[in-house]
Amino acid sequence: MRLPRLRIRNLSGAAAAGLHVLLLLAVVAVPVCAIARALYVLTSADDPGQIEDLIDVRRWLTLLGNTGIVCGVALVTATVLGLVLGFLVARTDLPGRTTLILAAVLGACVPVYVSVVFIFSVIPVWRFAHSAVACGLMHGLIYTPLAVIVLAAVFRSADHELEEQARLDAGESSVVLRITIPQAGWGIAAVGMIVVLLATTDHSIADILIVRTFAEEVYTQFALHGSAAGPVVASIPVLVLLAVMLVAMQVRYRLLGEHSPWQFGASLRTIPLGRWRRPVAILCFVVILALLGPPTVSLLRRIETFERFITTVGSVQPELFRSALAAISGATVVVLFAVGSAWAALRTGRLRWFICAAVVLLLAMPAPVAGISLIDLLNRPGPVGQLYDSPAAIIFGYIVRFLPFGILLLIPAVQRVPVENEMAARVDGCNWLAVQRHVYWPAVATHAAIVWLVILILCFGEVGTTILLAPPGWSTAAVRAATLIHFGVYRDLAVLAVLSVAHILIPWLLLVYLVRRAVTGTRVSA
Amino acid sequence: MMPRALTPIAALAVFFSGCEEQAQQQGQPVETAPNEVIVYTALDRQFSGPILADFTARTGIKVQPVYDTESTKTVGLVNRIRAEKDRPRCDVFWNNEILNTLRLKREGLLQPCRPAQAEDYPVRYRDPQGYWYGFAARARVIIVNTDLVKPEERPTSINSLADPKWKGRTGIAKPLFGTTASHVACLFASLGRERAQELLHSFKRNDVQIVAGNRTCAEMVAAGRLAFGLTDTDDAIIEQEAGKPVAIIFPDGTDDQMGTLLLPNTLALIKDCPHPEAGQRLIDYLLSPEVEARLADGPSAQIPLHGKAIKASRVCDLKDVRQMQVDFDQAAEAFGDAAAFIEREFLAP
Repeated sequence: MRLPRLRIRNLSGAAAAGLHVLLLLAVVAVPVCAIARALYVLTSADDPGQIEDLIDVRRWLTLLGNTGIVCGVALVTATVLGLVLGFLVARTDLPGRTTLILAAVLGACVPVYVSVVFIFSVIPVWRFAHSAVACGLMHGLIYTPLAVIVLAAVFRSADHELEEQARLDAGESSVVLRITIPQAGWGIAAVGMIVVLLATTDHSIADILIVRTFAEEVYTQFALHGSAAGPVVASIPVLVLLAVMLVAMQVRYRLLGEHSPWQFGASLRTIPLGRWRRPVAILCFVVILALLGPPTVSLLRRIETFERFITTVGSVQPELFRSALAAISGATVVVLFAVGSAWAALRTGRLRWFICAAVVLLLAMPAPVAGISLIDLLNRPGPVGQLYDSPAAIIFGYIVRFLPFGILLLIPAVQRVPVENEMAARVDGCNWLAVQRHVYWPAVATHAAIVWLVILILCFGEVGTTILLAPPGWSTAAVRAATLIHFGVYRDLAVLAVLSVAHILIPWLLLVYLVRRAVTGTRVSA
Repeated sequence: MMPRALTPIAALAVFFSGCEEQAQQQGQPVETAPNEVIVYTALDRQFSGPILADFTARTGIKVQPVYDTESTKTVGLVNRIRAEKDRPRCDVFWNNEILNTLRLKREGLLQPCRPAQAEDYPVRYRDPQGYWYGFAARARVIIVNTDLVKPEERPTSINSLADPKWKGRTGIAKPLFGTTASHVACLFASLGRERAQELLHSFKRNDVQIVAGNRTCAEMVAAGRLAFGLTDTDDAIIEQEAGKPVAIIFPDGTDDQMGTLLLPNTLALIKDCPHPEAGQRLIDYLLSPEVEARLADGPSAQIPLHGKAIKASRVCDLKDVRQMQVDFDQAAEAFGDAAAFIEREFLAP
């Protein structure tokens, strides 16, 4: 539904709207600058062989194949495990559901570099060298907790009336297969898109296992040629894939429509597992123990003595503190602007497609390209240069990288705010800022807090852009881990991994509380 | 709401703002605190960090380091220096090899300096115009698993990686980055393009295993996954001193062979850097025999090159090593060519 134009009646409203537009333009300038540079390099290339080197068909076919395998295996792993475990915790009487969901949230909160440390603390780096399948499997396992959480929430938002009606004519399993799971189709598609996006843009495991993927190719091209042309060209397939996926999801599920598919609050029937209750519970916990136990023990053994642990803590704690500070700042700015941007994507005409295009462009932009573009844009005389020389540059990097995530994650929450509420506020004379303040922010506060925590976790684990923007003497935990991991998992890295988990325990507890509140405290909209 | 919302953001902006006092003109360096030097160092933090801390303790000049990694996948300090060329922030570039330093020189991003200690280094490890200085080297060696390879079968040349007897059982780090890439570029310069390409083709035909890095190569040999492999002395000695069944061989040591490649750490002053004087003092300090002795003593067992070195290397006596005679400038020029070849031959399907 297209709303009539808002009139900006006072300075504060104008300033707020202007700030949003300014930030969006500043953020979009980063990939645009990168593309412009790449085009300049390509069009002014003296050696035509350079262009052929960038787009070598044989190499690209290999990259396509490997990326396809990695994404496919990751997708299947995370989706299947997420479906099974998500269904079990959301809709059955499985004992220990709460513990399972707590473990899933904790797993989703752990930064990728910590998960990589966990994996390689038990598996020698060379064990699965060159294996795209192993690479995909590792990605799939790392993203499974996230899939479990999303799909559990999606299963909780099923149409209970339809299920009850179906139960009159069919058995429980038929209802699950024909009603519950198909209804969760949009959630499965969303999980698939998230897993594919994360797997195609993360190079850490592909680098360690020497599996040639597009994410790895981005870095290879950048290190070889030192210009943005190679990475920008190498990120085109990811851009196309993302755009296709988002358009397909929009066409199929109308996710940018007026009504959110995300509904909670109706009491859903819990499906009894009967005699399978205990065996399934035991199996779930054995699997989790098998996945987490050996790496945890291995890491703790590497820490050696308590005294050495304390010494190492002293050396890594500054990075952890700085990481937390920068992540908190970045997440705050992202969420502050993501609500208004999500509103613009849903409820305006012209801005919608600009924001959607910006989201796709930003999501597909490789981290080093973002870093180099930001250096180009910020490393200038005056206040902008002062920004670059300060840790604020890292925060701006986080905004560029994670604002699209914030917008995508907040769209369902903003969607659930009835348009009529906004109309009523406008009739009462509210301008844009007042509408945001009195209608949207109160309604999305809980979800915004959840998104804040998610962005916080993402910022905490960011490496690719931070390593380029961190000012001298200012390093983050993720960058420190990246500099250590190529030497194998030893004491410092083990301590860093353990401390990183400790640092996310508080966000984890907050996230559990907020998710629980969002799922159980929200009523289905009329 | 807006003023309240802006207040924390403004507070953060003030909190995080740099120490600069005045705006700069285009092309001019960043003005930072006068008693400070900014160093971009590719040498591992655990080795370089304590040395930089000592410099601060001795001189009172605060060192602000930016660390890199031997990871093949960082975009590298080199690219960061390039990106910042219009407004340089780095004073000193401490590279753990030489070719990327030479590439920066070719791009006009360095400025000459004359540290007092430089004269005591061999001529081949310092730039005649003073743009870079080499110190504390690593050698490109073959690490051999002594359980799998009998003494009489041990390789004596890098050509042994192409020996059909060891097909699929030898390894090298990915030759696109780090010291392995430098080694390939040096082979292009030393042997000529055709011979170097033929040598690398022979490696490929013999199914030489490409592994993630030199450290991984050394670990795989120590674990018996590979019979032998090409790596650096600092990675090899870690395995040897851990009691693993490995031996270190300095390849191509006879008169009719090309010799062992030594790759020094290099120091360079960045053009238009904000603290040239402090930078030169740091370079002078890093070139001192004391620093080389610390690097030689440390886990990385770097090889001192100083004419009056006070510490011998644990790995070898330089007098006993036949060093590869290579023109590093030519190797830097051949780097792009070598990288393109590796990309086509070793990274293609």
